[in-house]
Amino acid sequence: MIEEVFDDVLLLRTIYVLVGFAVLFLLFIFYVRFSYVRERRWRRSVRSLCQQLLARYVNLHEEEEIAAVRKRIKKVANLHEEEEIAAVRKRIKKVANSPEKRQILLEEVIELYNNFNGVASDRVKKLYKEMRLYELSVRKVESFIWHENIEGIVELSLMNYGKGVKYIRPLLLHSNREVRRKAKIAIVELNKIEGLRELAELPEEMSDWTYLSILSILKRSHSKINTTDLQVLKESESQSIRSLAGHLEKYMLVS
Amino acid sequence: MEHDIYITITHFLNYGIFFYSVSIIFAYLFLAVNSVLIIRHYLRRNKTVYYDDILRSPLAPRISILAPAFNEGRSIVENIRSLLSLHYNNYEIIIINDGSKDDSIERMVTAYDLYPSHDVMCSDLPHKPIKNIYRSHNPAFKKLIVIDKENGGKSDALNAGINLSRADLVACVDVDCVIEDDALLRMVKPFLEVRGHKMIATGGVVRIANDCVVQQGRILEVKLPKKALPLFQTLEYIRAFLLGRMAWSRLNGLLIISGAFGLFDRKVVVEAGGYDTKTVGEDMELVVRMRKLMHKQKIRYKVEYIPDPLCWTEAPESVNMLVKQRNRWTRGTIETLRSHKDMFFNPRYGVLGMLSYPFWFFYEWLAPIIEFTGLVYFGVLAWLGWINWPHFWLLVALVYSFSVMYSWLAILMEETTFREYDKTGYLVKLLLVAMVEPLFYHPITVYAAIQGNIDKFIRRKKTWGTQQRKGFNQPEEAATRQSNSAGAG
Repeated sequence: MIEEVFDDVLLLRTIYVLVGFAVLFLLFIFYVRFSYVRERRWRRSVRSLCQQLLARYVNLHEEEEIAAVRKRIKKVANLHEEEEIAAVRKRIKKVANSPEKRQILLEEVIELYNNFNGVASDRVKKLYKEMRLYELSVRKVESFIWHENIEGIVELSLMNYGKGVKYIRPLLLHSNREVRRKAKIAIVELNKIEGLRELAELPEEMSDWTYLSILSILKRSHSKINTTDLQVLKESESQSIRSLAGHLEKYMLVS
Repeated sequence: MEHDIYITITHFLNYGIFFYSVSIIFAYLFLAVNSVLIIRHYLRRNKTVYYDDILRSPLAPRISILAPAFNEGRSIVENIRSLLSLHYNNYEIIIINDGSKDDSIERMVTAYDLYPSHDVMCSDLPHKPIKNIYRSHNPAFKKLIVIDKENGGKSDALNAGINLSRADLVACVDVDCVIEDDALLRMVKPFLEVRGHKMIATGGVVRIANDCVVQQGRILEVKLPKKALPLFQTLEYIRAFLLGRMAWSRLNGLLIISGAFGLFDRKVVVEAGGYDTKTVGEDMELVVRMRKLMHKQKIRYKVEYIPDPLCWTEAPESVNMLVKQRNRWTRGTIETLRSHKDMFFNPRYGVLGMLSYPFWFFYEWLAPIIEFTGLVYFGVLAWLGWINWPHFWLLVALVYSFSVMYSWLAILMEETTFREYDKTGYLVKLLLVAMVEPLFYHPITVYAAIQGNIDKFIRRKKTWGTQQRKGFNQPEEAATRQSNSAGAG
């Protein structure tokens, strides 16, 4: 039966098809590899440029104060530095204007913002606003693709961009659980106790991950909760919010 | 009459082997599709995860790392040091010296300033008597506990560790594996995220570390093994973890969490009765028993795999050692399947009974036997001159090309996800290995599996067999050690 179906021609054709498919598959694997290598090289060069510019930008601002003192003494010294700041800012703007490089600049800004504190991080935040990099994150938050939503939420919360709350808030009711989870954490990260009050209105239970993340955020930011807010949390429909309220009352943060 | 019997037998073998091959191809394709979907989902979901809050949190679940050790004296101090530097806040390390005949315990006592303590066991899983429990005087090593006990094998040692643990979760590891810094964080995440289900165990992807640059218990540079056998196993592990276990994880049908690195809910492990000391496939057997317990208690539960490479292990470099290892794995599979045979196509166990168990039965246990039978049958037909050669070559071409392309798909998955082997030369090498693996490596694994069946059913062998390991980046002679038949490997 089966033997009658097959003959030499069919065998040959099958082998041709298999070999052809294998070759195409191989080419595809190599294409994936080479496009990755090319992209990595490009990303590395853009990243390095961003790092150089941002480092220069932050350091120049640190030196600004010294320069101001010097200015008072010599009255001329600051001129060159101001010019340089403007030049660096102009170059950063050039990078920010390129849609492909903008994302890498944003990633570098986020990293710098989270690795520094004090004046340097303030300057980076200022740059983030000046270059309107938040628009990139907001666009992701408003996207219809769930994993882009997550990226946008995380970027806004890592940059502590308070105005981002209004974009994130609708995602608390998103159909994707992961998006809702990130939105909850971000709301508390950006709005602290006020954010927690917003969560109290949601009946959905939190996962342990969200619960622990929220507690860590409140602890890290030394937030205090007043008795009125605590009462709101205690009356929440959500068991996890009530449990969180109990924890806050017991261990910390009641002013 | 005789002619009819002959026709029936040949038809049965012809069609049986043909349809079995087709079914196995479709089963693997089904798994591959599921793997691609879950890995893509995992990567998207975890692209922007920040573990810092959980890392710092004192409320994160407590984890006990259980590491049985047998005659590991040469490397034990270094291995413990690497475990002590894992990124997690709330964990302890329990090293179980399983009656080592070398100076393991003395080395640990000296290096970590240990003293005998009076810790009390929290549960009563069976194990061999304990000689001493040690803790360190040095506050820097307060996470370290060492149990010194009589030799009883890996399962026995792990049971002792579970009894001593006070943690919510226990991570069972092979002490000589290299664990990634953030492995615990990644493994604990599913336990914290799950809702509506109980997470009972998670496993991490294991990779081959032969010839990688390892320093102070950390992988500094990932390299492909230079020797052929570990190279074949590298490809095999990529395929098995990325295309196999991830799919089963998606289907919630995992039957095994690798003994090299797994994280378990301690309470469920104790309720299930801990590790079975009578089997050589203790890792698989425990997972199956835990799952059965959940079904009995009607608790919705999950077992998950993390696709990130979290654990690096040393693969056997000689055919002899490889055959012994695979022989043991086969016997472990048989023992587990036989002791839980009530699950076979039992709808009460859901995916576990209707899909996972039959898959393991038909395509893990029986596959090498059917393959071997097919070869013998082919030999007989060839000898009699009854082979339809075009038909034969067509079948060979189909099976061979499927096998190669399945491996290539695994390599493509690796390329688009973790890209551990980032040199183009490595990619070419892996692609070539995929082409020769079915011809040279696969027959060895079939042979080992057949031997495993013979050892199980004819010789009634119940021991682990000898294991030899070279050690990472150490001279062969200096670092060779042996574990005895019952020892922890």
